[in-house]
Amino acid sequence: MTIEAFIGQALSGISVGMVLFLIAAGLSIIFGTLKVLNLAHGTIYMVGGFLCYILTSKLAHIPGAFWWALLFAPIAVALIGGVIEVLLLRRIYSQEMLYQYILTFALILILGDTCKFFFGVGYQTVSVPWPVNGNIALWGLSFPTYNLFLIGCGIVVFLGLSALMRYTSLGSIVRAVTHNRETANALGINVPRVYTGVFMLGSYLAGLAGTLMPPMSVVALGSDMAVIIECFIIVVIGGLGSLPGAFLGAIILGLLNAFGIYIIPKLALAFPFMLMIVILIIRPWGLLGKPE
Amino acid sequence: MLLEVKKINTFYDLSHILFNVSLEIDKGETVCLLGRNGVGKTTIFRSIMGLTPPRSGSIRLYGDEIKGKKPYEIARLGVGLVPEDREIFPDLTVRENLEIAGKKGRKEKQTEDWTIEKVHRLFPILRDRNNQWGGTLSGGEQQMLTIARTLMGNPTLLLLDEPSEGLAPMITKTIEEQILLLKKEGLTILLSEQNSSFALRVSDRAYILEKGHILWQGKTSELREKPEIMMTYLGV
Repeated sequence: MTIEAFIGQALSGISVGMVLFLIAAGLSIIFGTLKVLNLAHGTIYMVGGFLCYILTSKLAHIPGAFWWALLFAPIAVALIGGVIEVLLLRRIYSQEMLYQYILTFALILILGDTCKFFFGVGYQTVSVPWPVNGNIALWGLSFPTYNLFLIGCGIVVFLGLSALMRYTSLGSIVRAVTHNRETANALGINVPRVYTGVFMLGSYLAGLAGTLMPPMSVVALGSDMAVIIECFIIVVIGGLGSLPGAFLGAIILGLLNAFGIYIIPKLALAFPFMLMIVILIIRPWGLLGKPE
Repeated sequence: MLLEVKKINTFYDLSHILFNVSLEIDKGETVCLLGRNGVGKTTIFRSIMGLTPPRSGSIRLYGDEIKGKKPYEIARLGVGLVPEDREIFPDLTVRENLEIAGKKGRKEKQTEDWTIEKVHRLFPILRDRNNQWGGTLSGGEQQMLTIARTLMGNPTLLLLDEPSEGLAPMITKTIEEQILLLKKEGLTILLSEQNSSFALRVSDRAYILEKGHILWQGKTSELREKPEIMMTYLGV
């Protein structure tokens, strides 16, 4: 492997990892606060992808169509998330865990088939938008600009979210509700509204990832399941409920995917699971999580 | 009447905990609930706060029915609960624990609103702990932070669930003085205790509970004069 191929592979692995981080961060925040493991989180990401496709193709005559999609598609996905939380999830918080799984699994089927109904079973593509198309020369080597753009997005979202959770009153309220919803409720915090807000934030992140991914991949049915499994692996590696953990886990998984296929292609698919098993044995609460 | 609880029956799933419990608290009074562990003192607080709403009966605050309202709505109407197990938010700093509970009081409340500065005057130790994580405080400091946190919501009625539980005698003494200061400020207080000497020193009236029923009610001066009442009902 040449140096150029090595760094190129690492960058592409990390950039896919950054997209996965956005999804995993949303999954993790929702689980931490609502105590709901949203199986349909990947499907919400996929909806973001289809919205990106439809917006960029319908707005193709407008310059910068992709950037409009990047602005509006995640907001639309957040609104869909808000509707799901208020109309469906809210009814089952007091029920057994099993109902969450049935409900969120049903959402996978319903949202997936809705996408199939509107967009069919084919692959849709979105071209890499100006000005982050083409290649960029660094240290005499050439890299796809879009990969670097994704890495930048991941870092900005990570820092932004961390600051939001740590330094704002909104963040304090979310941390309080995450720790004990009943006490927060008795202190006058409108917990149902916090739940809706957090679910919308998590959905927004999935929608953002869904919009950022198509230019370097394709939009297709089934991408939701691939992604949700990778996100579970990321939060297990990093620690469920830990934002830095999701960030680290996403980078590790991205690199593992990128180099696994280079080194032992036949085992590439198995590497993430093997790593997850090792982590579960030696540190069940994840690299940066807290033991219960 | 500030709070009027009438014939409430409260259940945890199928187990019936409170049986036709009625109690009244006038503005400015300090009233205590006495009884052994498990007689339903905490359930009375949870019923008033809306955390475990009663199945029947009524709870009126300033004459308005609050039964069936959500806990955060009841809190915003001026009821502040200091839970028995304290429930400090460990991954919020002391200051953040206080800030998230900040609310305006109702118009009936005539005293100066609680702010971080005012809370620090009552509990100076919290000023020194300002930027520490809530989880790092000692038991006594946690109890003070829980009371301070609830005060930040500017309640007109303070519900104190076993404030002296698990505290060293010296700290209990401090908490007692702080409760007396709150009382002097005009705050209406309902507290529960197993430690009856503590409760009798700070309260004007008492209710004695046994297995979810109210067995006796009256002035605490009466309890002090006739210890046989305590003997009969509490075995102390």
